[in-house]
Amino acid sequence: MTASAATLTVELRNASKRFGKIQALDEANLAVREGECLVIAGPSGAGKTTLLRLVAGLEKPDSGDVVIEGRTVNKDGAWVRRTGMTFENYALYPHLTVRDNIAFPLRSKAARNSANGKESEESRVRRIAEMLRIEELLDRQTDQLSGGQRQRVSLARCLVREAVVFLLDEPLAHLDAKLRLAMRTEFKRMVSKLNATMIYATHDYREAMALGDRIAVIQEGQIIQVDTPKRIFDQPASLLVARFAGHPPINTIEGSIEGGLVRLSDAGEGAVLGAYSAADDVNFSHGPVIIGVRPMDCTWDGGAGSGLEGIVRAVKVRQDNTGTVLAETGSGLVEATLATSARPQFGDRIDIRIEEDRSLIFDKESERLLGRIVPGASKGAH
Amino acid sequence: MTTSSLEENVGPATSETRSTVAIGDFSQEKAKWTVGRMLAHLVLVIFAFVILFPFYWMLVTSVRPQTAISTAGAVLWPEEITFFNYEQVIAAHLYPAIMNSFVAGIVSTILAVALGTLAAYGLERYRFRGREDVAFFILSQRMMPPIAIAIPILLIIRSIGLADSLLALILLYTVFNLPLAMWIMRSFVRSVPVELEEAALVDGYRPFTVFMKITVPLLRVGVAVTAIFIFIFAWNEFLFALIITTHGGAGTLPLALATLAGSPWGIEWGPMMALSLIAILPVLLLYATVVLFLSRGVNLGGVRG
Repeated sequence: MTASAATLTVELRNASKRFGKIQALDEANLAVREGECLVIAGPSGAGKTTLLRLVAGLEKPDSGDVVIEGRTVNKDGAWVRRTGMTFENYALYPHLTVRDNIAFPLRSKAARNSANGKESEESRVRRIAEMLRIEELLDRQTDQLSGGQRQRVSLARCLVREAVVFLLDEPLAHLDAKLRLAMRTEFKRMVSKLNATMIYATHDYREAMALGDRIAVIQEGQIIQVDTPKRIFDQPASLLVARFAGHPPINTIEGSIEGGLVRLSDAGEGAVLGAYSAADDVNFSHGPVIIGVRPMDCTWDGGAGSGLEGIVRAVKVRQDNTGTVLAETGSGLVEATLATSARPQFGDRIDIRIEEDRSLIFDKESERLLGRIVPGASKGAH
Repeated sequence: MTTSSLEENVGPATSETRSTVAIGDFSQEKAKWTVGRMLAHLVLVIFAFVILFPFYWMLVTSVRPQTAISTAGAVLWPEEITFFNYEQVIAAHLYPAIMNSFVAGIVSTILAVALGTLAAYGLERYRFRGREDVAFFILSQRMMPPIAIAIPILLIIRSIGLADSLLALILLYTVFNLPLAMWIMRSFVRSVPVELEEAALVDGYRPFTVFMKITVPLLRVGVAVTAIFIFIFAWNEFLFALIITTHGGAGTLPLALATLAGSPWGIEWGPMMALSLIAILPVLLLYATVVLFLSRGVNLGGVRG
């Protein structure tokens, strides 16, 4: 194995895959660096599993290439690609004990041939079992395991071999909420310890944010954006990415750009939020836009706001007495943070303040990110 | 918080909770002997009698001396017990008839199940145009009544020089049982999750190794059940044994039984019943095994080692 920091372990080059009428993957391009944990994030049915299966060799691309360590492997069977994979339903071999399940990848002909003089099977299995804390389960049958234990065994079987890349398909999806959170923390510890290259598919944005060195957001077979978690959150390439990253989801408010100024559509004369960051001259105009503001950047303090008015539909107050208010505006429901101890009543008409400099401007048609609002400029525009 | 919840999950499962629940307050209510229940049992007893009586009568007849049978006719209890009939038929028919039956049955069963399993696997796992049509065509071969092609088969067997040979029986039984073996095995193959095979592929095993190491072990119950059914078919087969083999040559047990019914001295009841019971014994044992398999099927197959 060659190793330098910039080496690409896995690449997809214009890879497409179609199942009947469904375009599962559409001209996907992706480069996974050695040693990184790349999260494939997207709703179910977006093509995450197909992408992993292409890399593993369980599917062949209709067009485009799968490249592993610089070599095109389109024609190679799954058994020669040296990947490790977990399956969403764990796929533990029911006729084998936990120990035999974990040791199974070490017993293939290829693995035995390359294992000369290296660590013994027994100690390898024991080490990985200790890491996953399942050493006392080794002699059990797989039907004697709980869901969480099965998940660990499937991870152990995946991680036990020296794979070029580990492919993890929603490994935490079927665990209950508490265990999922615990495993996420533990998984992060393991990822940094193993220093292995991983592609990790999930639909849970918290998992993606917590585990990914980089995140690739995928929708309807298309890779929308590949970036660090921070940039995915701060500079989403499209409204979809913005909606995916963040909970509660980002508010989408209709607006327009006229004369270089961003206005709210449904606020009477059209309240001006500020200057558009990418306006090249003062007369710059753009058709309808969507202003994306996260609930934490929308506030209500009991007084006047940015001119975004709505009728209170729900008030959510947490244990620590902070809370949010859901208001129905001309652009649909908008969630805003309560910045005062006063509580609005159901049906009240409120004026929501928008943190202009934390807003994102998307084209309404293409939902692509256009730019931002320049802070301070709004004052001059009034 | 994370560690505690994890340890709970990792620790060995306790069986204590379960046992305390079992010794609960629920004293099992004794089943009441209502009129309906008694009637139901009466019907079952009569039914069992109707089914079992012929076997009893066979047993009784098989241990009576031939003279007693011909003079006293049928009785419910043997006047004297002798195993002469058994000694006689075993001496006369163990070789070749009984051995022929075993060889033809076992070899053709192994061939039919092995080939049927491979065919079922191919049809189930590889998608191709006309897949269902191929499957149905194979099954349709079984729908034809064997007697309809008995003469052509006899001519073919003769012309290739296999008349009155065990090989001919083995080939015929294999060919005739193959569609059924494939059809039964297909549903068993379908019940093996394809992810298991995919996982093994990713784990570095070639497709045929995956089939042998993952699929076949998980098909154990299916293979056993199919093999038993097919062995019984072959064991009981009479028509082809009659037309292509001879008694004393490659003839099987059913053929030997038939000769006892048509001997110059009339029907030899004692030896015939003895040989019939010998012929039924493997079938009974195998059916008992099937029942055992089916009742414990889930455990033996998919999930347990």
